[in-house]
Amino acid sequence: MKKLSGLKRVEEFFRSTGRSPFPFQREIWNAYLAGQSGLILAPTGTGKTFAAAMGPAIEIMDEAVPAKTKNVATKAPPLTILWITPLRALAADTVESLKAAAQRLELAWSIELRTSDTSASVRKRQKERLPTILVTTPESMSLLLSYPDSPTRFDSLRCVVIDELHELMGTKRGTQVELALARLRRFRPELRIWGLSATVANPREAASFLLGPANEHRSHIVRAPDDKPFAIQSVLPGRIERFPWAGHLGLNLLKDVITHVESARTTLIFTNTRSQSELWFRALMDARPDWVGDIAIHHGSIERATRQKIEQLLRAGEFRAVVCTSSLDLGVDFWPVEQVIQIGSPKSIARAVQRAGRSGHQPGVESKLICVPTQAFELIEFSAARHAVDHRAIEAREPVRLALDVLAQHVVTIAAGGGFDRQELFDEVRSTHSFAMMTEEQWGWVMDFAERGGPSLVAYPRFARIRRDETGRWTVASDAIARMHRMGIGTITSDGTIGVQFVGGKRLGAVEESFIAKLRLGDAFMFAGRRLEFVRVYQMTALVRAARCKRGTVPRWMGGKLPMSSSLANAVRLRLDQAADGIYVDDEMRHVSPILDLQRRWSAIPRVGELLIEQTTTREGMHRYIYPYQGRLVHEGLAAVFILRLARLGVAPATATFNDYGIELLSPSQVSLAEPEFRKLLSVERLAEDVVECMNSSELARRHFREIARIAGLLVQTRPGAPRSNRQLQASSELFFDVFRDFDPENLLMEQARREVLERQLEFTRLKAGLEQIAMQKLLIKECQRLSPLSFPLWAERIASQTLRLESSADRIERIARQLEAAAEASS
Amino acid sequence: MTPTSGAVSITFANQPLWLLPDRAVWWPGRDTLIVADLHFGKSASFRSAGVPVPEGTTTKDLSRLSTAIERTGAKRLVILGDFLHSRRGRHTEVFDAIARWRAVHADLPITLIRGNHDHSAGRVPENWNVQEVDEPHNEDGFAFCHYPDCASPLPTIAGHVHPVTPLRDYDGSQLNVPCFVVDSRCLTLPSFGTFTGGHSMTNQPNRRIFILAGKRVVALRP
Repeated sequence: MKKLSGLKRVEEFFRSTGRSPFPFQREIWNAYLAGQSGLILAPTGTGKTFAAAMGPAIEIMDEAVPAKTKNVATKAPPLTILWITPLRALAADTVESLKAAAQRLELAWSIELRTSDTSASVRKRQKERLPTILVTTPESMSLLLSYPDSPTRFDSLRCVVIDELHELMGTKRGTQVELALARLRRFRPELRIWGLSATVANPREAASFLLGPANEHRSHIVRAPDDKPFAIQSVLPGRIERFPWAGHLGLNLLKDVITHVESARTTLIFTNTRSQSELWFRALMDARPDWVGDIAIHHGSIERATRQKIEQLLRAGEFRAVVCTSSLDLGVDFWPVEQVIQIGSPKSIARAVQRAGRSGHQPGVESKLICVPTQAFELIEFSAARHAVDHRAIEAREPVRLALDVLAQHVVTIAAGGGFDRQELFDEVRSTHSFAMMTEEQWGWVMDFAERGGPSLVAYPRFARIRRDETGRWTVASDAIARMHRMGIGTITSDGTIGVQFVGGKRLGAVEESFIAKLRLGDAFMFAGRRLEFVRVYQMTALVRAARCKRGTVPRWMGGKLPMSSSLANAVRLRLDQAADGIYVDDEMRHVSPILDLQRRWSAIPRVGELLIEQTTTREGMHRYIYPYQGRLVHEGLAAVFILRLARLGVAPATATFNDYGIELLSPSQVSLAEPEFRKLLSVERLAEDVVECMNSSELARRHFREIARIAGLLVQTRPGAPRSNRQLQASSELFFDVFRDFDPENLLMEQARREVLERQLEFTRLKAGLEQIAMQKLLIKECQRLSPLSFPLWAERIASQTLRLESSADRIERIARQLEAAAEASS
Repeated sequence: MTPTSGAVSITFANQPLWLLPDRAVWWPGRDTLIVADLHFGKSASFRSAGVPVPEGTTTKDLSRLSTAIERTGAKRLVILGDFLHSRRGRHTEVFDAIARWRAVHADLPITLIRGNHDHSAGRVPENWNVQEVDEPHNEDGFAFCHYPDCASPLPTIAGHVHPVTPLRDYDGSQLNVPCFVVDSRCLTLPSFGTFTGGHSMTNQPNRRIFILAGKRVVALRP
């Protein structure tokens, strides 16, 4: 029989599934075969996986096969493709679809998963020999680089695929991937690297992220035609008068959600937080006890085995509905999903597109997103999002730069993984987009930190994570340190969680330790869709049993709120501007019009050229609400500057809360401000000096230090069953922060915490642009008798969550103590 | 500065005691200073495990201890356990600092009620001249213990839990502050060591809480 060419065999395979390759897929295969790297931009469900995988398959099939012996024929080729995905759920799915294709193509390839769930026996086998295609996560990728034989393990590697690239860009996990790619490029200079994404608004930067700035111009960017129709619709509450403004999680619309769920075979219900998913799941179960077993809950804190089982059953069409968080956001193919319900705002256009894309996964089929408001103004966001999705106004992801904490971790990884030459590693690291601008001095500090913990630790010879051998190579200081380092690899802050397990039974998942600490014997709480009763903590595990009572609190997990993107914020302002003119363009806007009318009567609706400021007095003190509509991130920075400036205007202390619309400044003093003072507060002048002054207030840096401390290896990871001696190594990032501040203030991690404050919260150009925009606006200062509809969500947010302040803990304690003493004297 | 400036006096088991802002208790009846949970060597044990923590807390804590001894003129020191943090923390840089401090206060008798950390950290060096005893250590109607729930019939003075208590601020937020906790049968001291965390304890009937507010101790209203 004449041997078919690789391409023919692939075409045959496509035909057998009733399709033929898309032109963009052929373009990618050709580029791959010509030795190129690049970026594949295609909507979900259009065949990105095969676009990336078939190039290497064609190449191998076309290579002359040596005379077949039985042995060679049955032995899978060595590691050829490394497939990195940000989500474990996605990894399992990718393995399945690649395996099915390989079987149809009669390729004797081994295709395996390697994540933190991989069993010890599989790991051991993989240690002997890696599979032809290894599907893994960024953390497991770094882990592979940390073994002494790593330089020889990638000898046969041809291609690296980075799946869901946009999820990694803009995060420190992305930095970790950049460093790993630089390492692999050193091992294999001919390596081809392809990134896959549905939504990247800045493809050239994405290419630089993948290949390094020096190779960016050689990248091949392929865009699949985007003709995916999207339908975004809203569940409109019956009577707007009884509409909750905030904090009710939309549960009053439960009936409507149930009706939608009844109408489709399979529904995904997305919530924005894990707590919200627990509440919704319970509410659905209570309303429809007959659905027990038909609906499931899926979020990142639920035990992995349970999650995997739910994913399997979902794929098999066994569920009517799954309540989930971003844990099911990414490109997993769940064919049976017919509709997607979004509880609350999707917060960004990219996320709206992504979540909608979970349904109608086939090319050309409409993807539908049914949005359920949790507060009135979210209807405006839904209306704005529809407009922006239609215009594909998708947000750009800015890669993280100079994350020295990630680099400090990487240096120890490479030291454990066969060691390195200092200058070579410096050049390698500088070849990445992230560290291209790193100075010799910064590199010297990172090396110093890895070796001795920074300049101040010179006097402590026992501390050393890496050391130089007689040939000048740097290696890890001891096997014990390598082991401990491997346990801590990764950039996702997940410290302080504690396992939840039935007494003598099944593990359910993990919750924050601080939540468990507040529970007392017999307290009930909801977790993993169950009502549980707290029994006791035993060896880092919270033991529970099924609760008898109906009530119970829901754990709140730390972790950021999703910030509203500027694309969406701009679209919202346009809708408000129209509303100020009495123009309500669609059902959502007409529905919310009574509340907007109330806002107009009690205060005002700000136009694009106006900045609304409201002053209200309550028992708590004087509230000032300022609405720049520039998104949570900008507001966080402005809030810090405003607190500082308020103190200069004689208003101190002050606490700030912010959301995507505006800022609340609360102060116990009752000083009312007028336009000239507000102009001072909002001035662009002296911004640089004020930003520096805020940055030096350690309260801001402290907030950022937790994540940095863990990545840099300060917080030791403990797992259930870990040796007791590790427990003696537990200390909170707060404690570390204080010790560094008092005894090693020059430490670059402190410096990084300050820099991250500057970059993320107080980014000068962004704040300056924000204040410049405000300077052009007319101030609309309203004295309000009561909280306006716009201010209510901010007020509620402060009650529910963390706030921003510049006052140190010591000063706060002294102030509260003075009040306590004054109160005691008054009463005696 | 008088020995008791910023301090609060209480009567516990019919004995006058002073709660000092130095995170210590002064027992004038026996010229005794009482502290708990120093955790010396904690940062060193981090370093030996490859976690880069700067030193400095040991010297700072020793000098705070000296200040408290000098201010009160104490003739004796009682440590309610967790003097040393762990076996890994037995390092020269820490031990030298403690030995130097001990030389300055050579005449001061020290009694250590062994705590859970002391058990795993091993014995105190002989030449530091520290009397090590197990709980409960009874004296003048008091039981000195490490654990507040040690089963002594006597009124207990203990440490171990590093108590902190949440304070409510004007904006509705909470702030944890180290404190002394006085229950009907037990006085619990805040941890003396700087590099230590805390366990939250709230006000309840038959309990008094005294917070550490800078240079003062302040009673919380029940």
